[in-house]
Amino acid sequence: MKREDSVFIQLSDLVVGYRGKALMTPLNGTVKKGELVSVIGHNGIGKSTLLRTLAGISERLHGSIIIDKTDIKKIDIRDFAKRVGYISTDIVTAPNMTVFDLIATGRYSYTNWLGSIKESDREVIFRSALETGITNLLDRYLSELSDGERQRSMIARVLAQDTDLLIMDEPAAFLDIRNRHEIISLLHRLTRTAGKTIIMSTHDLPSAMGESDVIWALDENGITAGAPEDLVLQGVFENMFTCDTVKFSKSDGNFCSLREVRGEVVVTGTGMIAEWTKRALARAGYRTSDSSSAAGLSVSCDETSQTWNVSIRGDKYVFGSLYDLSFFLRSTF
Amino acid sequence: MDKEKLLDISEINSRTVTRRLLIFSILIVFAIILFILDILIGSVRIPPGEILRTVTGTDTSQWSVIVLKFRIPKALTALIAGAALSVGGLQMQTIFRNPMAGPYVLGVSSGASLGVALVILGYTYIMPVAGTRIPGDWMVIVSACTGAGLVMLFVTYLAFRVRDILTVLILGIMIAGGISAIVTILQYFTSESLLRAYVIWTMGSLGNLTGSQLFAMLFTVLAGLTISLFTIKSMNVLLLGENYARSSGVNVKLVRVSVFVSTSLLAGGVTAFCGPIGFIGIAVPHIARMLFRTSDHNFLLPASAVAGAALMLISDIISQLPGSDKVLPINAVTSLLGIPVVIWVILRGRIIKTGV
Repeated sequence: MKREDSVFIQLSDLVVGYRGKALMTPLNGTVKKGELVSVIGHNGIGKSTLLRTLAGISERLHGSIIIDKTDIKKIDIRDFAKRVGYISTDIVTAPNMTVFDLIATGRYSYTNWLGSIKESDREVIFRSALETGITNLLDRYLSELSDGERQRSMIARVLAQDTDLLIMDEPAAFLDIRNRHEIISLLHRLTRTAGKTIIMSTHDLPSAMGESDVIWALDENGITAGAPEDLVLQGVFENMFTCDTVKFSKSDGNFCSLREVRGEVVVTGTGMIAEWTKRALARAGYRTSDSSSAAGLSVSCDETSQTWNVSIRGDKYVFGSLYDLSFFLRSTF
Repeated sequence: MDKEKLLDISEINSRTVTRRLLIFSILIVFAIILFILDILIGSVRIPPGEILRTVTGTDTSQWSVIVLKFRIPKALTALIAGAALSVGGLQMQTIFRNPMAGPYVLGVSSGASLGVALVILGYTYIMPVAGTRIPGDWMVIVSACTGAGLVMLFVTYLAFRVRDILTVLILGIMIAGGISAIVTILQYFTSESLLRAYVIWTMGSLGNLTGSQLFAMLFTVLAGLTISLFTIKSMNVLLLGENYARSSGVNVKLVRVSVFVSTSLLAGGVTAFCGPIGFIGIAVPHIARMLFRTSDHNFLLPASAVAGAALMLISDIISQLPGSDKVLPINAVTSLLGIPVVIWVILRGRIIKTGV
């Protein structure tokens, strides 16, 4: 396989910023066709500015952005709109606008001077709505939509624009957990079934890790790119997110709070119940240890009876839930 | 792909289009009836049959003078002014994403007034020899459009610096206040007869236009309306905000310049000869939105034009005080009709916070 050919987007020494002020060091990076790229980084680092620059809304200060072998500076605005779609974090509220009308605005660069929607446009609009699962919402007004429905409509709008590349600034912000996962997995599906290339920014590291092909970790030194797992192994997330109170755990890809350790505990038991018991005890401030000699505290859990037998320096207690167990540990010690 | 559902959607779509066309037809018929009523009603009672005969040219009595030289031009003026101000208001509301925008509230009409004041009042100052001669129609209209344009430029500059809707409105009031102060100062340096001409002009009137003035106004307004047709498509996308417009392929700068030229011509052209007419431009687009429940400018723009013409004709009929020989200033009537609509829009609340 020829690797060079598959490069779809190439950033070379790209400097982004506004009012002539650079936000970070020159950026370099490549994206292959059909990839889902998640841009992560702290607030204010310049994720939005980078995305706006890629979407042709903000001017770059220096360097080049090549999309499909063409420098975007050389593409005129109408043609650009047929190649790159964009969703910002702005919440769109246009009274009296229906979802159909909203999606129809995506057809701007395809329609005649009055913006007449022809049968072929109608078909594209419908297909976009079908893709995002909102065909039943087409005649609804935007003001009647929930946050999740509105975001789906915005995605349908950008699909109707029929571009190869989609740039999305925090597409899952403001959404509840279920909608957030549905939207991100919808984006993942679009890269697979519709051949879209998607670059999005997000603060939701776990779902970005679950769904994206590439993560761009953005900091003062530029982009560190790689598959999510590569970045975990290289300790990139650990460096980026670890602070005095929170730590990114390399072992399970999650965040944990750094607390004062109150003691050690031995957990015996198997399966799911042992895993969750360890987590409950970790929150209570107990480090799990394997050797029974070190700890005065041991917990054995039983999967079938859902009970926890605790022994502390010879005393034995039985609990019916982790809540009761945690409360006991909190109040006794 | 789900063909059946697509047909469903097409059907819903064509049903709403049919409904909108029906409402639009009713609106046009309504406007035509008002136009006829406006010609029929006046301080002199003229039998409808006589009017028909005058129009067809078979009557040359003194009534024909009233009908041809006064009533028909006045009704035409109302029609043109109403359509122009409403379309101007609609464009401003969309481009500023501000439901409270309009040529009058944002001081654009005041800018046109200043242009007219400079011509009417400044004429004697610059050319004392000319005495009390009234300056030419085109000169008035050009300076009115220029005045309107300058204020539009200033308001545009402010609106993109200050995003807050209400702040922009307050700034509009400031502009209007500043301009009226300048006009007051101008009045000190002018002759009494010209001053009287100016004061009468500021009250607003649809009835004093000469044939050539009506032509100049029609020409300017048609130019403004023609430009506005080319902004329809882009305004539909601009409702989503500038970023979305740009990323959809809209040349935002070009649209802004087009709207700027169009509204300057519309507001300037009307204000030049009718005086400042308030609250039509701000109220009518909301009436159009209420009637059509759409954000599509393909409907809103013609609907605003026709509804604006209708509302202006109603205002003119009311200003005749049917049954008496007194005539009210048109600006007072349009304000009394338009302000309740504006208050209703404000009271509906959320619209202030959510943009157009």
